[in-house]
Amino acid sequence: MSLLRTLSRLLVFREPQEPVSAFDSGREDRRRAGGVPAGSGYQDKFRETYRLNALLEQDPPLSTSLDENERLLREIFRLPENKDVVLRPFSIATDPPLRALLVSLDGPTDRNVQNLAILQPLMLLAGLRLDQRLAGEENTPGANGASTRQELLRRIRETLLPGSKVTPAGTFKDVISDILSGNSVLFVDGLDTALVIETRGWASRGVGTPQVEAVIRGPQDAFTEQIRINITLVRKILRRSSLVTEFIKVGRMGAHQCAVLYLDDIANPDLVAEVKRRLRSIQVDYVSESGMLEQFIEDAPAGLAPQVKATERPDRVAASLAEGRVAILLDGNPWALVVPTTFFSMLHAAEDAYVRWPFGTFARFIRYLGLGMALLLPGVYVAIITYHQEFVPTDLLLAFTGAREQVPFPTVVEVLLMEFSFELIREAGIRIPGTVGTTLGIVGALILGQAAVEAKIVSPILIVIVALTALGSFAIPNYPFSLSIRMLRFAYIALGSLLGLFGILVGLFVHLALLARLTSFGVPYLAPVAPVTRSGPDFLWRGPAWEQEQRPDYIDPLRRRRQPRISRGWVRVRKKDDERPGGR
Amino acid sequence: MRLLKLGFLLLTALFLAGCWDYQEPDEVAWVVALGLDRGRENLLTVTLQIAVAANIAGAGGGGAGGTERTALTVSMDVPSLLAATELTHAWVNRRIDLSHTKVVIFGRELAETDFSRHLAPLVRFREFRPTTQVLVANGRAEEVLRAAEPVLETNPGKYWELHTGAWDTTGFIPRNGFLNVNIDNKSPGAAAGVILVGVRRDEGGPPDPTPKSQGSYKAGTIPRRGGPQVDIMGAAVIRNGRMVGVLNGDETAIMKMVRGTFRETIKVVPDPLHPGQFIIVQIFPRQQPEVDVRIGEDGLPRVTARVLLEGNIIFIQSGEHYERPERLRQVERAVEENLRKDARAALDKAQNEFGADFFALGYHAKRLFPTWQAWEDFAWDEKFPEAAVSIDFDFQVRQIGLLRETVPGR
Amino acid sequence: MAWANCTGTGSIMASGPRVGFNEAVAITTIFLSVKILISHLALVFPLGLTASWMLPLLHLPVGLIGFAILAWLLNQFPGRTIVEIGEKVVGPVVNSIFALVYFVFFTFGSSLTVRQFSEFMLIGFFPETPISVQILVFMGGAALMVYLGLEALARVARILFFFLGFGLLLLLLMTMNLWRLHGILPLWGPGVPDLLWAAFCTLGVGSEVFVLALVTPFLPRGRLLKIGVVSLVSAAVVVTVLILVPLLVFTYPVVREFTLPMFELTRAINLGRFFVRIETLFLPLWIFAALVALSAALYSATAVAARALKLPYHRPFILPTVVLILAGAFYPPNFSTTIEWGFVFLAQWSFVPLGMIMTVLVVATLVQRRRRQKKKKR
Repeated sequence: MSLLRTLSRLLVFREPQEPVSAFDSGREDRRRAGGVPAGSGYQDKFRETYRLNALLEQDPPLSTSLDENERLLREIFRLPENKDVVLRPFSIATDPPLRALLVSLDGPTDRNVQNLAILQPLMLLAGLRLDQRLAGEENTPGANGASTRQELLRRIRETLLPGSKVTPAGTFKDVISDILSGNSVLFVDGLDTALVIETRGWASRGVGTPQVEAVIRGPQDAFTEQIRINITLVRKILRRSSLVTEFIKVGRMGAHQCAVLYLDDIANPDLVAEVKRRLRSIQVDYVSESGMLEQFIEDAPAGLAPQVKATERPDRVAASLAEGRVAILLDGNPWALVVPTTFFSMLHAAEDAYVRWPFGTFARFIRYLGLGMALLLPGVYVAIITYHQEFVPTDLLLAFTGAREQVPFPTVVEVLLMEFSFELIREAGIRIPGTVGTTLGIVGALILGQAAVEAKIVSPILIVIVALTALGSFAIPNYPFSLSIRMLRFAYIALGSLLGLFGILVGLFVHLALLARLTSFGVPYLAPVAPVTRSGPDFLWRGPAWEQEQRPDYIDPLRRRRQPRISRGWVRVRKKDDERPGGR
Repeated sequence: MRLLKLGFLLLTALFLAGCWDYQEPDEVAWVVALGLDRGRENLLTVTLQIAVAANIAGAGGGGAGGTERTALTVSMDVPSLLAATELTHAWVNRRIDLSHTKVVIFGRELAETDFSRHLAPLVRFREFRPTTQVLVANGRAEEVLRAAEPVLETNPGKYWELHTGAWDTTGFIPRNGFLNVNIDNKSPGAAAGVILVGVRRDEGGPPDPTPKSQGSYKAGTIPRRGGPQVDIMGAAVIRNGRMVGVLNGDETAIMKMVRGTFRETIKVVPDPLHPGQFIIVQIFPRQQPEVDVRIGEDGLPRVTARVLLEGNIIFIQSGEHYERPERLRQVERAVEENLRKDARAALDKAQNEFGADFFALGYHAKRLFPTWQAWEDFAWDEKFPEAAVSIDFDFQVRQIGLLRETVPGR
Repeated sequence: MAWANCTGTGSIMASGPRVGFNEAVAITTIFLSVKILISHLALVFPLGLTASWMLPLLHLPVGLIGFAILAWLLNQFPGRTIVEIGEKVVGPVVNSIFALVYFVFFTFGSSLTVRQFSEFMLIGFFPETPISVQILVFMGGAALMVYLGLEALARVARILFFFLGFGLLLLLLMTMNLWRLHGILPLWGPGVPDLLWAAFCTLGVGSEVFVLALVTPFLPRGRLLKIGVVSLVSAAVVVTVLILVPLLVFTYPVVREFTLPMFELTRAINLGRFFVRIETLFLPLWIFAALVALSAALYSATAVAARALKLPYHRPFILPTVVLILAGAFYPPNFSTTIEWGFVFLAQWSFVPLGMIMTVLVVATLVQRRRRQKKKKR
């Protein structure tokens, strides 16, 4: 029986059931000449949105009529379709009771605060005091007149609402942005000013340890997604009245709070003004990540290196601020941007300053070595093996020659093969779910390398080269910088295989020239080496902490000296008496 | 951005045009040693020793190992050395590269007539380098290269490097290299001493068990049995671009001492109190030698050279109590006397036999002349055989080893 | 040095390039002493014999006096280059001839330099790469550098100054075991009169300091003289040392043989089995020095052209000048002609036209001044 059914299903033709979609876009024939697709729903919606956006653009003031305000809000928030916006009508327990409306978003608001600090006092406890007070002063609370309304507003704000932060708002734009950021807005009938009550309470990650800029010695807290918490973390380190936080909204569609932090008595005012000018000038839908913001404010977006330093460590931000730099924090983002930045700070790690200075210096030189290897090693390997064989010690050369005897590829192909597979491993390692990550490392590094050598696809020496290159690139503390180095490595491989070391060196010269031309917020990228400016012993190597007497000159801070020449106060100053023989 | 695209385009164009000097190391045959002889069917016989890389690398991995040949030695008759590099394509499937050549060996016959003529122009060629060692064979160079087989190492290049680099642990091998030979050859005031290499051969004759210094031998005549076939010891003296004679090990050591290139030697000195018994000392230089040159009234140079040495007693056969501070002087005097004897022999060869200033004493005379012309006109090399030269030694004992005195056996 | 002041404008070009003291010294010193790395050196030894190392020391006082006069002239007209001064002092017609002389000096000078460096690369490292490719790569690097501007050039020169200095130091240390102190004896070489004549004949080696006369407006004010003196002295020291070392290593008659004594020096390094054949290690020394010097010359040539034609930018002149330089570089038929011409053009007689022009300018300035003073008195 079932066999028959199957057979009939196979043999009898049926009309195919194609999925029918109401939305069918991107078809040329359905477009009109103006580029706007036909269709009545589309047309209506288009007109309506246009009207609403124009309305918002005008930024109308609030009406005195509660109903009018409610109507507009419903329109703007697309009620009743939108289920997130909560409109809570109630009456304030005055005599006579005032009609009021509490508007908030369902989710980012803290329910407890809303209940206890807004609704409860207004609905239950308001009666007594308001009534008496108002009765004593004026007979008719509902009477029209600006001063009366102001008075009423003041009363409600000062006596009835126990919330920590209550601000009046007069226009729809303000009101809406506050609602969207999680505050509650109280409309009272008869008042053309609404009260914004701080009820933000959305879920956020606590302060955690740095994921990228981990250190052994030093503080272990990192920025989180909450801008307020982030600023607090910086303030916790720099307890100084001149630490200024300015907020600038970036983005037209969903304005993100962007904080500019600087020390007012140290940072160059021109620099601060320039940072603010660039941030204000940004015209964009929305910027959600500091990496995107970085691209908007960089001096040269096509430059060979990042001109903004991103860090997740509050202590680094604080140290930079104390040098006279400016930090930019973006809401919802655990990465702060520090400007201006220079080439040398790309190779600095937070720990350099925290360990004793000889090791700080040593670690830095190891990092320069890492930089050199990450950038040049494969290219130089190709160049030397194929162009400058006289340079290789004879034993090693014969070892290379012997090892390559059965490898079918030219050296360049070999190197590119291994470098690309290594990049593949790294990219896959980042995208792969955490639990499988370690397996991938083993598969990639060990098995692939081993197998490639066994199969005579690459020579064993090459594995060493690729591994060293990888180590070098991991030693670069700044992630965006190491990304650019990874890319440029391939250019050097190409140059090395084309013209040997000649090509690499000319490439290096051009590379240097491009870096020398680069600026970060007007500061030469290679400062303080080129151009030469005065600076403490903290760019190439790390001097002792007590020798860091000057702030970097190239930032041109308001105050240059940061500690006296003798900062170790306990060191006895040599007096004349000490000169006697047998003295100290 | 535009610049970037343009650069990329140019790079691609270059890629397509070709990588002119690009050459994989496994497409090259690495020559590690060269031999030059008077030719049999042409002007020269050129011998190339090529390292067999596959066997060298394989032996390190512990594979079949050991028994495979690591060097390929071939001789060709050609009009000049560099002509040989082209002719090699006839029998080797790889490009010949001389840039890792460690040694150039001249056959004695060729060295005696045309040493400089074949050597000096080599440096014009970029693959040939001033650090290459130059050797003279006691016979034909091709024999030497054919007999030279690395025993302790797999890489023949390393074999030659280590072998000729032994000048700093023994006094019997001159400090050398193309650079030094070239300078001594071309400057007035010195003659070059070139490392002597030889294939071991049995020189018949009756056995002669009388005591002799171990430095009295030359390459190829060292009385030994077993081991590799090739020796390096002594020096060949080159004058006016020709080899004029041979120095034995002891004379080579004296040459190095006076030149200031001496590092270490072991001397067997007859015991001054016990004839037939020996004291053995290890000798190091103390300072650079003090050489004083004056021009006498007869226009001939007077040279006094003082070689300052120090050393350790490593063996006292007789058990005599020389270790005491006041008696060390006796040993010192014996050593000095012994060295003086060697120096007399060497000086005799230099002035009377070869007429060549292989001590490079002329360099010390340069300061007496204000201008180059005056120095050249003085013609040191002609006057050297008649010069009054005295070589003196000042030896001081520093260490006496682990024994403070020897108790005689009963 | 308030770099952050440029933040307001966001662009450095608006305020003109700025070259600091150290950068100017670096660029001038490299430009002055780059000859010593190529075959120029080979032709010094036949002149000075064992006393060749004294030549730069003999050149130094003359160079210092010459530069002091040039600096005086430039300081009379602050903010102007030598081209504009000439226009003011002797009029545009005569000055156009002068400008042409400067232009030819820098273009043909760099033609010969780039040709020599490329020939050097050809002999020493890349025997099969066509020389045209090598010249093009050199000039491409220099052109890009000049396109990026004087400021970038000065900064790069400053950074490379460290590396070049380190390279030279390394070269000195690594050849130390080969020094033969009798190499500089007999002390007076060809004899004092001949030595002085040789020094006079090669006075042109300091002509490159003229580059400072073209970048004067961008230098820190009032420090021109000091920049020139420091560059001349350091270049003299570098050149002296670099003549001395081959003399000590190869000694006189042998040192005459080489076309590239510095290259030969690196090939002679012999520090055991590992540190031999390391001339490749010094490749950066040559290539970076060549690129900096070529960029400086190219910039100077384009700056002369721009100033003479009263254009605010030098960039439009880069491509034509590069083409001219390439034409000049391909002109000498072989290497030995290039060496001879390079020596004659750059080292021997370049000081004659430049010196004459300077004399004319100085005399004219003095005359004008006196006239003005007389007018004032009336």
